[in-house]
Amino acid sequence: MSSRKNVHNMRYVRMFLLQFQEIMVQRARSFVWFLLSLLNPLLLLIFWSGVYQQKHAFLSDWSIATVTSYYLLLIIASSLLIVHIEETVAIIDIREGGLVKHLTRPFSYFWLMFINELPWRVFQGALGIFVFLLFSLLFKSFVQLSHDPATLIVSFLIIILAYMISFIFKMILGLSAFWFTDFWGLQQLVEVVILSFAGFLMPLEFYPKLIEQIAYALPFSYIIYYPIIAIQGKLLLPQLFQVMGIQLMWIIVFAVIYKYLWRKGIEKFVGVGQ
Amino acid sequence: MKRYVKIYIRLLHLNFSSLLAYRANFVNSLISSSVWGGFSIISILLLTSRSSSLFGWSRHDIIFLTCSYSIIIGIFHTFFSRNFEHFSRVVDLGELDTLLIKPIDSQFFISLRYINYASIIRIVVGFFLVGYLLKGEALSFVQLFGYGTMMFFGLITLYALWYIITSFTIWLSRLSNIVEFLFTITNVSRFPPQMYREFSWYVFLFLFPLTLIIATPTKFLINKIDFPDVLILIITASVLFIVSRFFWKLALRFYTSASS
Repeated sequence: MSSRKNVHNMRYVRMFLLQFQEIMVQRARSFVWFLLSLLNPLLLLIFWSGVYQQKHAFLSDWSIATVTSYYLLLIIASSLLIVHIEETVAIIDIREGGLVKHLTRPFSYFWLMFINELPWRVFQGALGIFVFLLFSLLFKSFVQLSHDPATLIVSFLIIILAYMISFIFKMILGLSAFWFTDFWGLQQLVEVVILSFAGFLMPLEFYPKLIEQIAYALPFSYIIYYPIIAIQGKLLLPQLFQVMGIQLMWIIVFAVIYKYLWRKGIEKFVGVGQ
Repeated sequence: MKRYVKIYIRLLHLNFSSLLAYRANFVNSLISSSVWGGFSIISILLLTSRSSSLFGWSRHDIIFLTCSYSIIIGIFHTFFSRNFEHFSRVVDLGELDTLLIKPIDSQFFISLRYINYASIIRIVVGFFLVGYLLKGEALSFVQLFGYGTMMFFGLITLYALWYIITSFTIWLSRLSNIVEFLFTITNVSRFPPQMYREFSWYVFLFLFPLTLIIATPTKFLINKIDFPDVLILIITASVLFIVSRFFWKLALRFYTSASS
């Protein structure tokens, strides 16, 4: 029984490795995708470095070093934690009917997509880490991270949970194509909401109070903002556990929604001619 | 020339017919354009919310810059950017042959074939906000003429840069996502050029053409224009346009169709 389970798990490992090979074939494209994650944080970093030169700029307890670290970590976070599976699910699988072939396979669709997406994130996250290390070497005094091992371990768990929230949320977004024939409008709207409330523009503390409170209440800050400030050591251990608790809550909420939408969507799905 | 004007009018009609045929697509594009237009304005309001002036530009001027960005990018997205998306896909799928054999200038047809009417919303919102920010302040004819003319040259600069970079897909056909990169790097023009100059001269020189596209027309609106600014944008636009023509012809010499 256990050896059968091992064989089953090995299939996922093999699929992961095959997908990694595919990324290596498309490394130039993948690099361009990474550049997208790189450009915006760098642009905003240039903007904030200018702001810090202004005497009248007011930025609570964020120094130029912590802001620089924030945007450098944002490069890693946006390439590692922002999942882009929704187009595959909505366009290729649901709209064009590719889902049929997945339904006849002895794999869970959810985990199949998970395995398809993970290598892309790992590859681009690795590029992000490389850029981060390069900057750290060149501008040592501008990079500030936590040195406490306990904080770093818990932060690592927060990053894993952040990835799960991001993944399940994007799967739900993809499943919306069961009901919407053209989901581009919704996808663009969600992208802008994520950009605004996850912490892509600036640390959420810089927002006007009301927007800051809205951002804290939404799940997106738990994908980008909290993992970054956790690594920076801006949160104490009890606060880190609190963040993990809220992340787990979002994962459960999204998992329930996903299961419900999947069940209802499959009842509705018609894959003609596949 | 007359023939090309006729063809373009026909293309405008065809694209409008397709808009009427795929109304849901149009509504989606409208939502998408409005959302991105709104985001570019809200993001700059948030970014500048704690400063009264930055890089020698007042907050008010920076918001003007964003409104001009909305107008110019709106025009660009209406008439050009969808064509570039198709361009990279067409090269990747080996379908360029069918476009090249048509009895028409290939650059004209590739870059002006599709019109995205939904992006007009960004132009409208941009003009509305400029009007609101002016608060009844009268603009002179010189300012309005200068603003319009510099917008035209800004658009030529943007078009030429996109064309040159997209032409690389002839050699690197797999880079069909290069247009996504262009969408992102165009964001550079949303900020005052001084921001890059103060940060590093190397960065500024690298991004130089992009920093002119929005800032120069906006300077006309806020009365900060100098003659050299005008001259630099006109020269940059003209040179880049000629280079884009030359580069496209060079790229075509290396084009091997999918069946070759």
